[in-house]
Amino acid sequence: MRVFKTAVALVLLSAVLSGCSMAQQVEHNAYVITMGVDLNDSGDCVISIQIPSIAPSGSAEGENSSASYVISTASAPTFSEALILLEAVTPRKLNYRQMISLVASQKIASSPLFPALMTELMHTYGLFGSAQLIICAGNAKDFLSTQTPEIGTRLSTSVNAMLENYRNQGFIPEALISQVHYLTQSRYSDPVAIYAATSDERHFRNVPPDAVEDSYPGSLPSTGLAVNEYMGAALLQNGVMVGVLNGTQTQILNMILGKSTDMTYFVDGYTVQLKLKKPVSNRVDLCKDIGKPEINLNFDLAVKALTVTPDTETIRARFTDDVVNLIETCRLFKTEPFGFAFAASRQFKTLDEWNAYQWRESFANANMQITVSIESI
Amino acid sequence: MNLLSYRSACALGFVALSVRAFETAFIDSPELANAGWAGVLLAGTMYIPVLLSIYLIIHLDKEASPQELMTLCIGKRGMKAVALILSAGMLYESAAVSRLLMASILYGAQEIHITTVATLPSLIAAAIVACAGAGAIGGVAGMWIYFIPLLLAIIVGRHIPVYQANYLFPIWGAGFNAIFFGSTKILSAFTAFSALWMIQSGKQTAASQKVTYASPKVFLILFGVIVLVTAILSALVSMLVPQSLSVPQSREYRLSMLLSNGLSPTFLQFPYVLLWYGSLMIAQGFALFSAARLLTMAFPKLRFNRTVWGCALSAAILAAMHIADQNVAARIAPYISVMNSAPFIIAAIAVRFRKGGKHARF
Repeated sequence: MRVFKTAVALVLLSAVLSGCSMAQQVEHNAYVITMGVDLNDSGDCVISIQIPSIAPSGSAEGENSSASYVISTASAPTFSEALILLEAVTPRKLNYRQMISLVASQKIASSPLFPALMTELMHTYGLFGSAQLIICAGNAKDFLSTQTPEIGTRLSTSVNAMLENYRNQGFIPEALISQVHYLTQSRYSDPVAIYAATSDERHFRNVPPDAVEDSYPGSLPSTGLAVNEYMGAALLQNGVMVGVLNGTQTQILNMILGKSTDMTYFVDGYTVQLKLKKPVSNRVDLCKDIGKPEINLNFDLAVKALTVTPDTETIRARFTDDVVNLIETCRLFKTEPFGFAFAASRQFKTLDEWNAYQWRESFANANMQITVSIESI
Repeated sequence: MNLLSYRSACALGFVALSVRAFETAFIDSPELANAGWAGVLLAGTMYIPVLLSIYLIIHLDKEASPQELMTLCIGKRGMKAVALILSAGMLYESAAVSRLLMASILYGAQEIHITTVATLPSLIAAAIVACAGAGAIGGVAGMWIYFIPLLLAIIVGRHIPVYQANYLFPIWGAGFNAIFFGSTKILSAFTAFSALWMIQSGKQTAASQKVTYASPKVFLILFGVIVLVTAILSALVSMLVPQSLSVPQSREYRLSMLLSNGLSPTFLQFPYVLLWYGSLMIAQGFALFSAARLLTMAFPKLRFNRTVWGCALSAAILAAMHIADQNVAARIAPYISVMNSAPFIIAAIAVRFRKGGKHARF
């Protein structure tokens, strides 16, 4: 009897061993490092994925972006269909848990399909929400093709280090696809994405820069390791791209959002380092005029010259102009990426009351009070 | 009878009830938006009458077990009826936790379809522990409770720089109606406290064989701590994601929001998963043990081990049925809450009317 009970117990216990069957071999998976989405001339969604081939160079199938990375592409009327087609034609199971970035072409990001695409992406099994959203001027597949590990051998490490470098300098925002999606679905401030372009002689924007930081990607007057250039932010409204910020504007935006505390600033030919002495404070007052909020923005900066210190009043005036220019640019595109909506929403009790306030329209009419104080150190 | 000591009951109740209440508030109640903490507090407030009833019942005789106290209040048949009702509630709870574990496995295993057989491993494991008795189930919780502060410290500590208090505003989220609806679901998790009280002995035997009896305040404090910790955790998690009501929010979507919101670094997946699955397994064990223990309270001739396996099988069958679906569970929740709560309020009132009044004895 005891033997029988032991046998039954062992058989029942074996049921809990089902987890062992879920073991996954690395070579049985295709780890997507970057996904590109685009819209072709027929209006179909084109998905490109860049995956490491884990094979000796020259023996990989498909198009090679470099010796050890493969790009696969599929196109279909919708994102979901294109993804299913891609999974059907890729010889391994697609694994999105290592995805570093999502590159969307400006064409698809500016189309009304983009918000639904992001929602479908967020419902994709296994997608890790910390991939960065990059919007590129031009074709996403070409962007992926020119994406290589410039230093080192691993693309994932290379892209992460590169984005962190640009983010630390303030030239690009932090644009996690999950946070972009959640902000798009919510009724608060609008998200922004990283703006990038492949440098080529045609210069997608063809804007001659007065200073480097006023440039847009694709037209930076430089050559170097990276073929793809990252500079600026893509403005999104209801999940659709509506405009672009240049490098300086993005640096100021990052300061307002609390993502960075310093920036290199050029004034009348001089280079200075601006550093926030305390986080940028904002106060939103809705009480005075209905539909015309008053927003107070306060910058408390310290300036350190790299060579000669220009007049602080000149720096203050120039910086204030840049802040005003940034806010007017966003108002022009009817988008509010500064986080003011969160300060405003504190004055409402429920989401219904907040939604009824029509924040975006109110922000366009808001009375801005910008205070910039600069101390030389 | 094989009952939990009151300290084991505290550990088990803290782990099981707080994880179930948190899960109901954040995973199963997307209508609460980021006002889950308010739903938790309201649910806790709604349970106060039951809590006070239990408090009053304990005062009748501080050295009697809950079973004896309920017999005193409503008679032996009444006590058995209450035990049967609670057992049914905890059986359903066991099925609901199985489905939740299955949804978590589905999210973790990246599978779109998981057969309901996936509910079996956790039920089998819980049944094996439950068969080992109150000491085993209480001991597991007693050990696990030492891990919780460490895991929470890692998770919360890492998130401190990225918490956005702004995401909690507007403070009442989708409004009172949504908070009330959500709180009725959370209340069904809290009313398992009634079953917890019934399956503990009210005493603790120390190593020196000295017996100490639980002060009535112990259970008030325990419940207060459970509600407070759950509300704080709900608020903290809500500070990672802005409020959104416009997309379909399945359990997988909400789990993704909890674990893969972009602000939680990859290394936190391990403590998150450990905390989540460990606590849910203990909640599973608690539900199964209490269902079986209460059933044997109602029918003393039943053998405990066989009752445990019978409950495990019943829970597996229930978990495989639509009745355990997320939306059905939401609709049933208010009835489960009433089922688990009303007997104690009735008992606290009834004791005053029994023959002999407040001086009535067994």
